[in-house]
Amino acid sequence: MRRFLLLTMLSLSLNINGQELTKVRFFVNGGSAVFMRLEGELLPVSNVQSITPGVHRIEVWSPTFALYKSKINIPEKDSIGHYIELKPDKDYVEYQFELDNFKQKVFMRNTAPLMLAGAGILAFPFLHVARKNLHEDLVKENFKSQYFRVSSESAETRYNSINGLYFGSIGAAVLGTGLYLALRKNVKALQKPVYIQKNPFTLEDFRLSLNEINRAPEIGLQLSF
Amino acid sequence: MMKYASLLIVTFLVFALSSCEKRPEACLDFGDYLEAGDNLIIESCSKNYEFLTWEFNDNRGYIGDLFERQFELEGNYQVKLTAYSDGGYRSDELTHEFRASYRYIDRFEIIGESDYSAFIVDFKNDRWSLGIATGIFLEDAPFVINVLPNDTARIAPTSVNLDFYGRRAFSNVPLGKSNLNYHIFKDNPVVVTSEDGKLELRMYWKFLD
Repeated sequence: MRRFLLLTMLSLSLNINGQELTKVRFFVNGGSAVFMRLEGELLPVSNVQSITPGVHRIEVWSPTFALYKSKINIPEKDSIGHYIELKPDKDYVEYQFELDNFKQKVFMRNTAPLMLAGAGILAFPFLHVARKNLHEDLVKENFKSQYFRVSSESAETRYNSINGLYFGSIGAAVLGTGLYLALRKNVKALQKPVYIQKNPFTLEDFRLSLNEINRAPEIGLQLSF
Repeated sequence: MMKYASLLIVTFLVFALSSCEKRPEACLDFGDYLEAGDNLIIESCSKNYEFLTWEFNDNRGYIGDLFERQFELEGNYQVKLTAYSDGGYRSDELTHEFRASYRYIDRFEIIGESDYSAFIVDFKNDRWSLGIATGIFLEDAPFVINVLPNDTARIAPTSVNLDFYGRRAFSNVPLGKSNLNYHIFKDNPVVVTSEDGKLELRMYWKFLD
């Protein structure tokens, strides 16, 4: 009886070893989330897969990347590594250009005029006081130059400089505010580009969004039925 | 739109109001004469100003609330005082003409009861005497020794003795004396009272045109 049991266990262990699955460690140059399909079947989300040796049809996809289709030859080994380089989705590249263009327009038509107006308004009180003091110095220096043989050139230069900055700040405040108000409707009419890609395996749509907490871009799923 | 417009208006109003300061007013009240030969400190009665400039027609200028100078020469002068506002954007000016002159003894007046034949007054190195000094001299009818216009005696801005005597028989009786620093003492008249309190000498001075 004992001998029979030992023989049975030995034959079972030989059968198991006879399947000979190869551990494949995939190195995918893509996004953080990678989906793989082998012979039309979705694999678990992991970069290490146990695959039977032989030639297989493999499909790999990652958000913002194009679907990768190829054949993979798995040798009879304990483990191997396989490198896959995904190419960016053409629509995503175009989306990035459009997004840059959008941001540039928003900056030029909204942020820059506001910054200009803000800088002008903030600088104005300081320049107002400085200009007043320097004008007082100029009047005194001009007076001294008549009676005490002192040159007032330095005071004149300082006053002219502050005068330029003073009127510059007023100009910046007026111009910035005017541009902001004039372009407000135009900025509102601008549409932020949206990038939507369909997961070719699950047929789910996803769109890029911004995490409101850490202000980092993240992939949000939009399920469609 | 309204929010931004009102913000701009408020900002403008704050600065408009902050720059609404009173106009400066230049003012001088030292009269038509200043004493020559003395170191003078003259202040102005200007208002609402930040700083003042003083310009004299003898090509001297000062910046400040007051000026300190000496007029070495007697004569007519002109001063232009300009009061500037904070920042010197607004100003008010006035021109004042005055004469710089030394102080000159005009006359001496003696009040009180006297039995002296004459009064003698010594001021520094000058002496004046006048007879028929017996009698009672009142405020409205004093005994007067005129100095100007026949004689000119300057009051130098230093310490000077003023002595007052009465003549009886052939001797001069000291009645009173004073030693004043005329740099500080500007009262007019200068009063010296006799030791017995019966007589009072008043020295009147004036500036000369």
